Amino acid sequence: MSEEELQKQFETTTPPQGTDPDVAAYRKIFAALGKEPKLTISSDFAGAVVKRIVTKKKREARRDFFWLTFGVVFLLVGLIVTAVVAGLRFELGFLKEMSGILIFSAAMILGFNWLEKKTLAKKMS
Amino acid sequence: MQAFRLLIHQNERLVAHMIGRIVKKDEEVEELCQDVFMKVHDKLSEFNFQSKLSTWIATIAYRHAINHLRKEKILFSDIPDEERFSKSFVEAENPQSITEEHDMDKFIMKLIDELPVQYKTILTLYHVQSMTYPEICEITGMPEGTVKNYLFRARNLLKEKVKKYIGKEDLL
Repeated sequence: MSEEELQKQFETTTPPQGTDPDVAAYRKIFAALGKEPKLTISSDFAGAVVKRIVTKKKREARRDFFWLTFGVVFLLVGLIVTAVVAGLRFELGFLKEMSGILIFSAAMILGFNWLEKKTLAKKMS
Repeated sequence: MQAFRLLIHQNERLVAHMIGRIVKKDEEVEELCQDVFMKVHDKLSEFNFQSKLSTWIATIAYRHAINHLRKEKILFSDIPDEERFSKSFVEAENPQSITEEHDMDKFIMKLIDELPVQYKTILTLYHVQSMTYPEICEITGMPEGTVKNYLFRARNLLKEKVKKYIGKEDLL
């Protein structure tokens, strides 16, 4: 029997028997190969991974917030500088006439933000 | 997150066995396994259901382990000269840590550790994870002929070594 056929025989439900040195060696090898090697990971492995993911997401959220704040500040500074250099005057009289709708819009935006954070936080945990 | 925790539980053994076979330092295995699941989490939306989820995860684990070896400049690439390697593997005297091993299963496990990365990976996927040839091909990126050839050679090398060991044991 060729070496290849011998290996194939060991994969069947009736492996070869006998005291031939090759057969004896393969018998030991096939018995050992199917056994699970010892695990080198901690018992709460999943918990450790989830913790790392949550930490990573928080770090990313902090970074996003930093760039958003930076963008808003940069925009405001740009606006002020432009207004000063160009001598612009703001007419904000219309705000008085539309105060109701402005307050309603602000309340809606804040409300939706609050609701989104609340539901997202629940989903994340 | 609960669903992802379940996914980790279902696949942690697969990833740990793969990484554990390829990376020798025990202290690095846990961190590398965690890295694999971080990658899985990041790329989960890219999974297109073309293969089994476990095969996809094993592919990420295999690539991550290989990249780690590359980063650490550990020689692993193509088996340089198969004939020469086979000869040196079979004829070389076993290190003391191996010859002192009286449990045959542990002795064989230690021999597997001495094999080239490709051989070890294929042996683990085929025998421990009971994966098919096409699945192993997808994970390792090797053609089916190469996978079959490496599996045959790995088992043959182990046989020669074990045969030598059994012979010595009989003499004692």
